[in-house]
Amino acid sequence: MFIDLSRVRFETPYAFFLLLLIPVIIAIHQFQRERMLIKSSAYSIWEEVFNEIKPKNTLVQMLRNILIYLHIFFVLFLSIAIANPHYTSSIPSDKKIAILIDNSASMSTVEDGVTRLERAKSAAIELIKNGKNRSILVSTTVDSINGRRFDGLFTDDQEKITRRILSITQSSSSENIDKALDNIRLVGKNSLPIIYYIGDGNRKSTAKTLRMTKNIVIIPIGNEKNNLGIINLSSRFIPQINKKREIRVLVKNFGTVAVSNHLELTLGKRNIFNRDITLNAMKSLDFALKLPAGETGVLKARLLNGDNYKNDNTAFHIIEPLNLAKVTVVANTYPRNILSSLRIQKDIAVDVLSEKGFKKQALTGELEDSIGVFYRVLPDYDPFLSTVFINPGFGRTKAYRVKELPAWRRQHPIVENISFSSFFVGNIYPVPSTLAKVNISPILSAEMPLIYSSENKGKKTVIFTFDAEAAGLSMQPSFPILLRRIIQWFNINTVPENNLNPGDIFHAYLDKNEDTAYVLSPDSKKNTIKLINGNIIFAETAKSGIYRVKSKDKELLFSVKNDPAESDISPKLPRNNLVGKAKKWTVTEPFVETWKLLSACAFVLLMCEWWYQKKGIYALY
Amino acid sequence: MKNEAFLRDLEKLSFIAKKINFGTRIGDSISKRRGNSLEFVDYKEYNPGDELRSIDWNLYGRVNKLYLKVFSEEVDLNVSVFIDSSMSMGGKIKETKLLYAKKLAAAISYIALKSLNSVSLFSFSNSIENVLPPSRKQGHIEQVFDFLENISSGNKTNINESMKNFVMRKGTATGVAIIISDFFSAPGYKEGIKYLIHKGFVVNIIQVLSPEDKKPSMIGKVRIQDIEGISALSLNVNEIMLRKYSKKLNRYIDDLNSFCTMYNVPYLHADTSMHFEETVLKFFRVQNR
Repeated sequence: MFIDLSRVRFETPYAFFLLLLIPVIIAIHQFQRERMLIKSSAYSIWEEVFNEIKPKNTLVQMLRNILIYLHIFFVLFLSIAIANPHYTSSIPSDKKIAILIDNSASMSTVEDGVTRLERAKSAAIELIKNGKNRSILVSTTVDSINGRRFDGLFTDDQEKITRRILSITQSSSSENIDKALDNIRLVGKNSLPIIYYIGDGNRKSTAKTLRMTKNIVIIPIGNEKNNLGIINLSSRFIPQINKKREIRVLVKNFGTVAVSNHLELTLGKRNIFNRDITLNAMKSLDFALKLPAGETGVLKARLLNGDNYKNDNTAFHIIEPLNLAKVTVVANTYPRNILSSLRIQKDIAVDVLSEKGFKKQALTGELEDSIGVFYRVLPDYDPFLSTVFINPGFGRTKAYRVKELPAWRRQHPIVENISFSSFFVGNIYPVPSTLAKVNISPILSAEMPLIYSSENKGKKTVIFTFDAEAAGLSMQPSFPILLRRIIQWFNINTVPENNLNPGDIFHAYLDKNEDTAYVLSPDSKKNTIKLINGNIIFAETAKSGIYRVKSKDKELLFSVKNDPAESDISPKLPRNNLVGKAKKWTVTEPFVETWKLLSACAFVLLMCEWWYQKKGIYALY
Repeated sequence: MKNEAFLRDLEKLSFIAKKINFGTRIGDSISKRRGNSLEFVDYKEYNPGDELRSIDWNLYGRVNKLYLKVFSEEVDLNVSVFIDSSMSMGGKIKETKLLYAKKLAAAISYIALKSLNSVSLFSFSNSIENVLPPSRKQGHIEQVFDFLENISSGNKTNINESMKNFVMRKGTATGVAIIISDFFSAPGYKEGIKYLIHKGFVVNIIQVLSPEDKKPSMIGKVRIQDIEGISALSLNVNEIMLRKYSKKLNRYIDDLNSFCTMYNVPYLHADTSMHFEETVLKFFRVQNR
């Protein structure tokens, strides 16, 4: 088999530093050659013996030093194996092409005023233009096209493919490259076509999978150094827990290289944090600052590149205070039972069992007065918490098991200040009718049916539940939209009236005397809405188009734009000074796992060495 | 060497002095020079100045001419002991071949002196190094001891050169030559022995080897260096090699033995592990054979 060595590439060429061991091996062998010196008067006899056994054959002479050769070859093979060689070649023209566009959260990073996803789309379209008469499939790393990764089969209809590419939307989740490749294999009937991966490959696992995949062409998008971003900036003030306001900041490096930057936090005009930070690949910096509760203002976090303070890299804005109650997220493995299981009662006490024994603990009241106490057990109380005993006041104590969520489920992947705890309550009680006077109006959502909001003495509370273990709700792009809706509901005056973005809440005053109104969506779906003091609050604005609001006497129209770039689901806001260009294309095909073969050779050599030692052949000198 | 035990051992050997001779009978050692012994050799015409008492008057009566009776001159037997003092005879071990050779030389000298022979000693390596002139005095044994004490090992062995060097010396008296050596001489030994034979010596060979020479104890990876030089060999000594060595050494000894047989040279193989007394007795047995 002819091998063109010029096409061999090494993944980790640093492994060749192992070759430095060769001089060491030679030195050790030389050292070992220093034998016991014996002075003999019968040297001439020994000389005769030596001349007799001295091999005439060069090969046999070489075999006498076989040990050193074996060691040198072992190190050589090992270093080549660790260097991970692969064989690159040009793509044969008769193959199918699958274009895999990364639409994960990190692709929303804006560089030169364009998101990485847009750049990836442009690269894909460019690719299609060059690949005429090819059978092409377009897929994404995260569900995108009508809730699927890909639409249809391989086709050579360029127009159709272009349309598909343009319809790809940004996802707020991390990519699952393995699943994406599996899908392509499935469509390709288990024969892997040539895959063009267009994306930033930010996750380590993605980079590794891509490297190990055959027939893949990686078109990198984006500058790795731009992957540092402020993921979360939040403020919370819970007097029951802490008298101070807690500001929490989460900065994450999405990329695969370490990045340094300067982080600045301001509250109003006051600078509350100013420090250089360096984050390694895929690492995050999560910290909290405590401020006096009365301090208000606009909280800003900025990442500054070097000393260039002129660039406004504001990552997130939170206006404090909301002057409202806080959002509570209760994750339950049995979401449909949560409402009925919540026994609304005052003065509830919990016995918490830990390794140290039982401990009486008052539960945190999240609501006040009429709605009673909504309780939850904060896992922070005790790391060994496993069982909670609740006395609802009837003289019976029930034990409930706290089910631990897997670590990756506890934290929202994008909105990282939201953490999920799991608290399973098994008893079912009917909700007392006395609660009717409290305005609990469900915000219905196909994805999230158990959302309850309430308002009590001007303070609003939202409870929404879902199965954090099984449901993919938190992974949905609509999840942050939902949160935004809730925030908007809290601060209803900020809601725009008739020109909304998808997910924005529509708020309008209709008529004080009306109880209900209905909203006709662009897809002709009719939603009946209960009016609150004549106000309509409507949140199902995911579809773009014209919405019609009708009451008895009044009719309103409002529109929802459909511009994904303006969607507020991005984890980060654009950073103007970022520069990113598509790097050179790397063609890897087919990936020959030579390291395995080489390792096997090294193993055989080791076995030979063992045999040599065991047999003691040529042990003449 | 001059310790009591050794001297006692020598005393034991003195009884053989009366029975022993060095290749030729004592008294049979007749010089070619004409002398005053009782043995008649020839007649010689009288010349003026000759001793009148040597004239055979009876012959004069028969042939009416003056003739002198010529008698052979009876001389003492000279025993020359050659001790190899090269590096190969030395070593770090207590009982070196050189020490053993010295003991043998002392014993032989002692016996020779007891037998009223004159004894001279020579140490050699690549040439004759030290010489103890011949003497037949009984007190000469003290000088023999002192001479032997002062011999130390050094230089390379060259028997050929040493013996050539010896026979070329002026005033060398022939007699019995006893060479005590290991005979590990790179240039060989045959020429040297032949020199002595041709010079008229009755040559005796005692080859002294140590047990380490005969059966080396080394095994495994070793570097064998020539004790007399800088040449060295790196060997992984195993049983096969030791057998080969033993075979080669035996062949070497056999060669020496054959050579001695060919030239009618008494040969004795000695091992330093043997008691020197036993070796001396063996030596004289070989002599009388």
